[in-house]
Amino acid sequence: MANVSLRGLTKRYDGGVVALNHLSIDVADGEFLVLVGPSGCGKSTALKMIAGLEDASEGEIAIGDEVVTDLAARDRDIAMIFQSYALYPHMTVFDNIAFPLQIARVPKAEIKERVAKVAKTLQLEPYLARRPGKLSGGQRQRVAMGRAIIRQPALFLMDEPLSNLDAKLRVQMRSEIATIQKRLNVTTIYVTHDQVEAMTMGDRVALLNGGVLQQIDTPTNIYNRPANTFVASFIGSPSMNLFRGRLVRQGAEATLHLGSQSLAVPSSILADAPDGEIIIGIRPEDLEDAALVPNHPVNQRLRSKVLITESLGSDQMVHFAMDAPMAKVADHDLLDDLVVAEGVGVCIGRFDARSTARPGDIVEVAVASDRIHIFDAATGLAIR
Amino acid sequence: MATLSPSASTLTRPARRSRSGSKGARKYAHLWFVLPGLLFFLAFMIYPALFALYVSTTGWTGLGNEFPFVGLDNFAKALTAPTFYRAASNNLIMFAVILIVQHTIGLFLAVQLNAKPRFMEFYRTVLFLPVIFSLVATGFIWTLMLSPHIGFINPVLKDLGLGFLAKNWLSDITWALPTVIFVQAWQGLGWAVIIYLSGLQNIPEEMTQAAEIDGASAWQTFWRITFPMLSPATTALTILTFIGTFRAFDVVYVLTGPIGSPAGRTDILGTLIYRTAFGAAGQSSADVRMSYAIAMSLIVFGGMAIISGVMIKLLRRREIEG
Amino acid sequence: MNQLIKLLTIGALLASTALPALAQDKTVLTMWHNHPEWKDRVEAILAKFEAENPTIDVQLEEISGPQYNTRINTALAAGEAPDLFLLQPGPDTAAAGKAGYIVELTDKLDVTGLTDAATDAATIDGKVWSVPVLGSYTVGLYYQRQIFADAGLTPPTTMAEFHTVCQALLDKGITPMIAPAQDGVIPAFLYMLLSSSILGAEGFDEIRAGTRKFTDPDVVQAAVELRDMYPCFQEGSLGTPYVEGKALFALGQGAMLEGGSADYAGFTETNPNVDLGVVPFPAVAGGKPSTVTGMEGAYAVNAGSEHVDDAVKFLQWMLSPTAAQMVVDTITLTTTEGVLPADNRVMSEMLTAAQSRDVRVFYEFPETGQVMSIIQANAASLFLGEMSPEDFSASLQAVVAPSTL
Ligand SMILES: Nc1ncnc2c1ncn2[C@@H]1O[C@H](COP(=O)(O)OP(=O)(O)OP(=O)(O)O)[C@@H](O)[C@H]1O
Ligand SMILES: [Mg+2]
Repeated sequence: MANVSLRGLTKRYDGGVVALNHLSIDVADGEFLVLVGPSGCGKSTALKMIAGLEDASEGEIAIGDEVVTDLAARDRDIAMIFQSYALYPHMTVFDNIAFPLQIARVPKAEIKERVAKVAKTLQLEPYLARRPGKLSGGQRQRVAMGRAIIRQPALFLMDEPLSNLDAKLRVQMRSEIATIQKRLNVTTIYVTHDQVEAMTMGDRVALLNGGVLQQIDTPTNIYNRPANTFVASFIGSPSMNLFRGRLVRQGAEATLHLGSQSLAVPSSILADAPDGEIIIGIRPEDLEDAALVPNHPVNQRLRSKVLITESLGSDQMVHFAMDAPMAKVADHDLLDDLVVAEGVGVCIGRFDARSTARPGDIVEVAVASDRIHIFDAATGLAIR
Repeated sequence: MATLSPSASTLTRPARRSRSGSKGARKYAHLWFVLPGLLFFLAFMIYPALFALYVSTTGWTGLGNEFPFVGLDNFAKALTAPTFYRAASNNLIMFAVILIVQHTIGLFLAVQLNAKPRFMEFYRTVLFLPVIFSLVATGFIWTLMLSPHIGFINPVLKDLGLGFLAKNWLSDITWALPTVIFVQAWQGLGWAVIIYLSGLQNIPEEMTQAAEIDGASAWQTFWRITFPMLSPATTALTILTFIGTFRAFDVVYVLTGPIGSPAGRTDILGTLIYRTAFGAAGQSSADVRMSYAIAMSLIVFGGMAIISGVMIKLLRRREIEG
Repeated sequence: MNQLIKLLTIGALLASTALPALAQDKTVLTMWHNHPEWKDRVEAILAKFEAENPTIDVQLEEISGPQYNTRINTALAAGEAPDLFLLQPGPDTAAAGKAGYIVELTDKLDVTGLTDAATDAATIDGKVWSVPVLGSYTVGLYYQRQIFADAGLTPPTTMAEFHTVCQALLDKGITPMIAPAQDGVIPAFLYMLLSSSILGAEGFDEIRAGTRKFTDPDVVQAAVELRDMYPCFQEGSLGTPYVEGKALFALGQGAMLEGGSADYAGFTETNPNVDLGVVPFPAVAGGKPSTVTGMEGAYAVNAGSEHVDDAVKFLQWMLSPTAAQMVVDTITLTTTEGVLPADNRVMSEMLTAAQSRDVRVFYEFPETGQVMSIIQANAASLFLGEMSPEDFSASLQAVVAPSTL
């Protein structure tokens, strides 16, 4: 059991790729930290450096109160689950799980006992004599889990452990891992690029992009108070609608101009946003068919033409046209390169299933103005 | 292609059924596709094999065209000939030594190369070069180097102050076989390195990383993870080495000639069969006994088939299934 | 496409009219032999023949010694042998005759000009199947004249003298004898020479007839002498290949070499300044200095040839003094009686040497055909003391198949 502290961790590969750029994070003892970010953002690199499989180019890693930056992997008291599970194909499930104990020369009887316990927890008892090649994906995942937890390490590292499972199994394993982690209370750093995992599993979520930490906070805060347009667009599905607009204040009244339309917003959300060019963010669930909320203030509505509707049963995604330029953040982009799409923008709203909006219709869209996000037009940083 | 689309194939199927009548015709239709290959196989494999089998039961010398039937005499003669066993045991020694060399030095070099040292391409090329040399050229080069008269190995040893190591490598009854085996091993080492290297490169990095995190030392990781995972390579190499050493001929023939000089110390099955089939002297083919040689090679072939079969079976057991 | 077909058609038409025309004015005889190193010398002889016989073109293909027998035997079995080819006299030729591969030449060829040995080699059971037209070789003892002169030695005539010479040379740090024994052929010739010293031609006929044996105590002495020569050989002799041994001798790395008349051309090619003499091989006590003689193959005519007459014509010409003189002056001893080397001292010395006691090589006879390969196989064991001279001789006698004459 230990807290983990990363200070200015940097990785430069030969050839100049900076995979990780001054990452500083403190993980509390027993905390479940999710490291999330698009592909290639340096998540695995960070994990391998913590594990001791890659040397740090710069920075320091401390586990507990010990600086382990220069320790070999086997001396760091870490267990790791790889995306590929890295099960030993020539060993039985039993031997796979027992491997760390065998290496540590734990007495045979004790190994047997501990493997039995772990196998029971993970429902692996029937498969102990099998080789990994003859297990299903979910079973393999459990074996990898078993090999990690048998040792009661100071720190769990998991690199996208669920990405090879089908959707249903992933949901099941997600909660199993979370449950086990809570029960064992071992500090865990969990890498994923699946935002659902990030939102549901972690005590905190750290979002990386291009090797740079974007935000680290609880899932709710990350969702509700994204630090910048990247975080805003990365977390949430469908993504937050981001448009370039103009803020005009007249006394206590504030109006957002989105293309040819305007929207009254409460000044409480504007904080010290300057008048003029800004980026406006609206989550799809903060948009609703005004026909279903007749009491919604008229000046907090948009009028637009429906382009497509996608029914999800419980609700429907309605794409409608906006004549304001979109501010898009491509996955791989750095914050500085906000792409501005020319011409017609598309806005997505999550409407109730009862909405009758159909493609071609002109609809009134109710906007929950008090939940609008405002970002700096140049830097993309949240203004609050 | 359009014909591969499902609709096209459902269209052709009923049409073919109506055309080609009986059920049997359809069932064996595939034979028409196999036939050319089969005929080729029969012509170039089975027929010569059967012919060899036939000749081995005759007294054909290889000269003329008389094939007197002698039954299993040739086989009986081979199986009671001390020279046959002497040659076979030399092959066996060669196999054992080369096997050890390949699985130790070969594996060691492969592991070194797998660590991607500087100039790795260069080392790999150098190590593999002997493999692609013609066997005859290999033998010839070593004959020149080892010669006590014109070779440079003995002079170099003397210059290094290792004169006591200088030997009449190819004519000393103690050293001739080891020398021949050395050259053969040198020649084939590249195979071992390449096979092991490709085996190593097939092991995902995460596998050894996992072991490392689980607390294993480099040594433990190698023996508990890497080496077992190389078992397909080990099997392949063992079988290839077995076959390679038991059909060795060229290098040995060039190094120590047709009679396994000195005094048969380097006589192997290859040279024995060769000189029985074609004679040991250019002046005369009076000692040529083709049918006897064929009988010997059939015995060797049969023995090799059985032994490699058993070896494959045993070695496969330790391999990972699935 | 059409253009191409037209072109091809025209080409084919032209070829079909032109080729017979070409073929008509020349008969092409294909011929194989086993001495690539004689290429230029043999081509010169063929050019002479072609000049005298403009309608015949002899095309020679040389296949190097060790592969030759295999190649020709395979080609014969496959029906792909050339019009004319070298065959080893004795068992090989007999088998080919019996199989109907070669033309019987008894009434087609006048062989009266051949030497006795050559006549004998050409004849099997009274029938002529092949003729040795590219010479014969006689094997004696080559020595380096300069080394012997410098050391004040004369070439040995007896084995006792041989050992004196050997010791004297050893004392001077000179390798007394080069014996490339790797393939056992040289030891086989040494044994033939030593036993011939004891047996003579008549004694050898008795061996063939079974009335004498290699195990007779006086003949066993040949094996004893062979064994005792071993210390006079160069370092690593059992591993020295034939070509290396020849080169070492040509370059003066040893004082003596058992060698044949046909080897001389090779020595001069390796080292034009080589200064050699030839004497018969030293006598075993009670015997005479001896030489052995074999044919440089004998030439047979393919039974499947379309030009049998032209082939016979060629062979007949090869027996003529013109051809024989070229052979003896440029290659080796001739098989044509009475033709002497005009300006080849070493060949003359070899002829002189052969007057002491000359015996035919064993392998050219069916009775002793196997003996050579047994000597090859066992000589090293004899040298190394792993096999006694008695056992060695017995192993040879075991493969003699006495004729029932
Ligand atoms: N050995 C290496 N040499 C050079 N560059 C590397 C190396 N390993 C990774 N990189 C680069 O470093 C960056 C971060 O890679 P990393 O594997 O950490 O990404 P990731 O966030 O785990 O992505 P994914 O979600 O696809 O697994 C990438 O741009 C990658 O190309
Ligand atoms: Mg990764």
